[in-house]
Amino acid sequence: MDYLMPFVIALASLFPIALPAQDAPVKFGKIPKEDLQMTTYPPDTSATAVVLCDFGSLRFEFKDDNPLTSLVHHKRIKILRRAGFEYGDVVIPYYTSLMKIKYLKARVFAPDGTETEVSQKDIYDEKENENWSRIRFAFPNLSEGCVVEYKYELETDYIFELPEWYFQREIPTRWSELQLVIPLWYRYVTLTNGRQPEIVETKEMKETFILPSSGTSNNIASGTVNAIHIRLAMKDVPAFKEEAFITTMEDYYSRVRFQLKSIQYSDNADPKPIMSTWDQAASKLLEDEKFGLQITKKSKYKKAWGAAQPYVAAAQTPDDKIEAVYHFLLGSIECESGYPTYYARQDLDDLFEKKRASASEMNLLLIALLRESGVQAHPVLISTRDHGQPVTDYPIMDQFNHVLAVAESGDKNVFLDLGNSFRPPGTIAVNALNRQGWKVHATQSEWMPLTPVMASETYLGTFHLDEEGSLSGKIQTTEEGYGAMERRIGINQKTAAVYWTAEIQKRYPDAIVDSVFVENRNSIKLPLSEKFVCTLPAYAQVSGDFIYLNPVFYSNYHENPFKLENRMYPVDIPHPLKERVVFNLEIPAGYKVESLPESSRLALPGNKGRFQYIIEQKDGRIILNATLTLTQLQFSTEEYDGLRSFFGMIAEKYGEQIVLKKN
Amino acid sequence: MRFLLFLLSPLLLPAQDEPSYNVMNIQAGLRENADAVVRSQEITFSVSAPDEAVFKEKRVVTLLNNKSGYNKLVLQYSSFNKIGRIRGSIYDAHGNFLREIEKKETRDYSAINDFSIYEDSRVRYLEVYHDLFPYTVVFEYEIKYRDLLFYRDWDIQNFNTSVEQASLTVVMPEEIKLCHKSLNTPLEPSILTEKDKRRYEWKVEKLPAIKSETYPPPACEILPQVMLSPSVFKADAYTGSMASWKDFGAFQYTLAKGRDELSPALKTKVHELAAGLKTDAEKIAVLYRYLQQNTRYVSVQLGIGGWQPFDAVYVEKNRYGDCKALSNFMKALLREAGIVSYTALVRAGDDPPCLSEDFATNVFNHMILYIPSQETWLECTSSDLPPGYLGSFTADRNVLLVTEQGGQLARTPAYPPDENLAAGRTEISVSPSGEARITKKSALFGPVHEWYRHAANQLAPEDLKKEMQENNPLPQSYFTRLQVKPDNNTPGTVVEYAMDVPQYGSKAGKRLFLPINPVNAFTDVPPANDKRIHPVIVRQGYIEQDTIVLNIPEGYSIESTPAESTVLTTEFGVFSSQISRGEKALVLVRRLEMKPVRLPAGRYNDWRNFLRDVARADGMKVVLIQKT
Repeated sequence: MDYLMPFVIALASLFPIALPAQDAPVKFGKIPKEDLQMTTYPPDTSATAVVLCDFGSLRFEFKDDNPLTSLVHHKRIKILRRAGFEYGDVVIPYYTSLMKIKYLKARVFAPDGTETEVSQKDIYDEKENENWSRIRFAFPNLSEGCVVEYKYELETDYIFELPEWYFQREIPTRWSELQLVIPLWYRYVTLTNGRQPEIVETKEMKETFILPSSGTSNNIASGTVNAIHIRLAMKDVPAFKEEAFITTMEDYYSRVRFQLKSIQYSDNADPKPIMSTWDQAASKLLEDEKFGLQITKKSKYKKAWGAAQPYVAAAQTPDDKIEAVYHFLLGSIECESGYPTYYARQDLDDLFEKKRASASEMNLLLIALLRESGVQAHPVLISTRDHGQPVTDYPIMDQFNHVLAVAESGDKNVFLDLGNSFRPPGTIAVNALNRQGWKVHATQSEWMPLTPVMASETYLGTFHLDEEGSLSGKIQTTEEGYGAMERRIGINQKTAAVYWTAEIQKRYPDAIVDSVFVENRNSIKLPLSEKFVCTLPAYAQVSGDFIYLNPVFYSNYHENPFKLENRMYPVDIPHPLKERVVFNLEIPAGYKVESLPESSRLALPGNKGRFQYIIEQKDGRIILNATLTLTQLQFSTEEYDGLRSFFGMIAEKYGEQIVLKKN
Repeated sequence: MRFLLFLLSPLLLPAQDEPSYNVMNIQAGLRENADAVVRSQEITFSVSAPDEAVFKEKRVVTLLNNKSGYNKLVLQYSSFNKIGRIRGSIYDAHGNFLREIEKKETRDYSAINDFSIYEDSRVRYLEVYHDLFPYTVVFEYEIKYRDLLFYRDWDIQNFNTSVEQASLTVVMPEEIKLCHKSLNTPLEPSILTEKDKRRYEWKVEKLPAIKSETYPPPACEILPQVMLSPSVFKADAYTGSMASWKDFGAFQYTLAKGRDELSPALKTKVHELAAGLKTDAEKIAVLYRYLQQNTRYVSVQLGIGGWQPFDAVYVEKNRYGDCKALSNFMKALLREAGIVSYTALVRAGDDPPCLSEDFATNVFNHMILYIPSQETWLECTSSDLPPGYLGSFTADRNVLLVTEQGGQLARTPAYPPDENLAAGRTEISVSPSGEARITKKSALFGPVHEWYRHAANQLAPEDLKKEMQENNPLPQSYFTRLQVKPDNNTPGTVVEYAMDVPQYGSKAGKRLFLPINPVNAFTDVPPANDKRIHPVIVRQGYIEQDTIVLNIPEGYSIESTPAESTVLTTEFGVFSSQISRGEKALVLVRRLEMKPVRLPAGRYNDWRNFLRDVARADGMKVVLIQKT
């Protein structure tokens, strides 16, 4: 786990001396000749463009008693090939009500040094939606070999978090540097991802902050105060490449974030902590109008509880109550996607009346109603897989984007995540399966492991083969856990008959599927089972006296899911999986078995991935029993090769043929 | 009075006057094939001046399942028009009122396309949720226009949607003539003349749902629609007419007029470039290259609804522009070299419009350039297509030429199958354990080459390899060599690769099973369907020609092969595969010609069976056996 590492920047010196601030690494408009003449970037000759320098300088200022930060961001890009022209289109997003872009200048330099300024009227400020705006412009006069650069100042009075800094981009970066000057009144915790900055320098120096006349109110000292100067820099950062089977690339980009830890305006006063321990953060959240109060103040969920009561009244045990409240809410509220936050946007009762809410809001209401019905329940904050792995060392709040419920039933914890009618209690959304979640509790907040249930699928086929190579018989499937959830979603979008016809015809275009029978379609806690009759014309290849056929009539692993030869980043699979294929074949009269694939077994180190393929013939029948189980979920880049060949060997085995010969 | 009122009041609110949205009231036939039922729709479009109108709609739709988008209201607007009140409410299956949609539920965001830097275009968006189907949504809104380039057409019906009753009323001032045309319906309006106004009304009822199918004809050949166009309109300082294609083209011509002036320096440059070139074709090629090398595509859509091109000087200065600005710029370059060209409005993409001579309507989203003397079409936003090659994005469809005499319909060229060609030679060497090394060299020509050209020019070599690896039909394979070479002067690309496939053959005892066609086996077979409703359309045909040589490993001989000769000759396409066996190698010569077709619904299964037979032949295996 070298990928996530929080650290608090240490003070270099207790006795500050005045030193000039570190110079900016580049000056706007001054492009060295070598850079103009550069035709390839030696560390990555395939690069279409290179960030020559990305420089940010952040300072604090004070206006009307309020602190604000100003970030001057200067970015210079070398465009090497035409395919890199897209980096000449620039989008700078900002949060409309909190941030302001104070100026923006942009220039492009042809390889011969000719400059063109981007005209202010070709720079557009667009209100993207209710919250966000973006500055957009395209550099004019691009040519292969040109250098573009722009510089702007972003001002914000939101100091709880400082603007996040990315050292790494999808193109290589030659130099990336962030300098910060933070008055000692404010202490921040720093969190870095991916490769660590090579240069980390801190100095303490005297700085003068101009405060407004009323500046001494609120205990703000005026005039001169020591400030910490931080300089973080990285050199030759490689381009970032996307890969599959991962939580999110955000986990691996080199970047740094800052969150306010404490405020101390006077040497005599104690520093005022801002969420510095997990319990403190929990207490704060539980008093939040948009979070804790929603589940503790009855007025927020009274109507919902009124409507739920009749459904819960008959339930006796905690399990029954959980079941009742869970299904009541599933049936009463449509889940709305696209709100990746753990806060409630409105009071829960209002959302309940509108019958639409985000999954987080539904889960908060679930907690409130469970508590009312006498079940112990707590919110558990998580970061979804596409949002990044959680950081447990320090209460960084913006890492969370979803809330689950955990309910106590006897001595076991049941994780609950509403939002999908085909997921029973205990089965949370796949995207929520991100290793662990943080239970919000004023005195006993804790990180709890999120142990996923298995996705299990069984395909059982009993067939008769005719001399033309057609297969006919029955297929029975059984799915549990995430397998059942996926399948239920599938068959509910159409009818089960339409679904299975399409599914089988994907592999066998002429297949006829009939008499589809579904068991436990709506009993989502129970395994899903489906039976149907089918005919697969021309399944086997008939040549002269021979018939060739593959016994694995249906599987998700005919192809190796891991196609790439090498990986830069570890593999992360959301949940364990199991697939079983049973093939029971009656061979046509007048034929005998000429050859069968060999039975075999396969395992990953530590037995956390197992595969067996057992095939035999008996009384004119051939029976194959193949089972794949995978319980290891994380694989390092070193283990990747083993994982890939494991699935490669399965795919190979699943391609093997039975040979029959006419007597 | 009191007494009277008392008596009357119950009559004012009789239960049966309340619209009943109970789904039980939907006629049986209207639920068939339907995802949604339009219970009622009333649109009133009142035009008061060439640049002033109010559009009002109230629609009541019952959603039978989650497959339609009728729970959403998407209203596009710009700085020239304004959305007035929006109201919405939901009713359950029994027609019981559930709730009113609040104003704060509507969202407002910028509607800039991903490829655009700026557009004056925004969207008001409302989405209603309910957990139990069926339910009924009522939407009501109005839009005030202060800029009326085009009138909105009335799409009476979408696929899988039936209509109980719907009407469109258009109120026109006397001095403006309304042009209208009904598509896929005999529907005609009733016209009522009031003192200084004319009122047109179209009414439909009980339209059963029209099912959507694969390989369909264009929607404009199936779905009923009323097209509307103004005889006079005004936008900003421009006045125009949509009474005919000629008029519409004339308006477009006016918008671009005077915007094609080049700087003196660029004029000189054009003459320099053209000097010494004998034919117009050579000059076009040189100037097109100049355009490609000196500009790039950046979309900025502003003013006159985004219909006015930025002028040639803007493109010269910034070296970028959108399709209109770049086409206009190219036109100016050509004119300077003495070559006449016209810009052409086109609807690009997979669903070309049906344009008829007798009715002008605006369905366009892109602009290209036409040079009549050479019958050459140019895509001015491309940085790498060879001169004279238009590309499949805009091929084979009606377009509107913008000339000094006004608009004129024309048709872009189609690519017949023999101009969309992939010819390859593949050599496969298999080891006794089933590993293979495959080398392939193929020449791609026409539409099929486009992806490779763009990929070779846009992607870093590693990314190109990765992209091709991920789309490789062979499960586990490694490119040991890959070269994609687009040809500069013809629409062709040569693709060459060598690939290691560790598990090419599957073993069973002493036998080795090898796929006969590892490189381009046809697999896309749609399901059989006895109830096909619409004709089958395949727009683009192609030809594949392959020679595949399979070298037999030492110690093995052939036990069986698929049929030595397979020939399928149909009106939809021709497939042939010939296998010749030698001692050391087996050679497959394969040719597949897929023809562009338009078939009546009754022939669907025949067409589909041809595809199936091709897929079967391609999916066969060669069986080798160990010599003992």
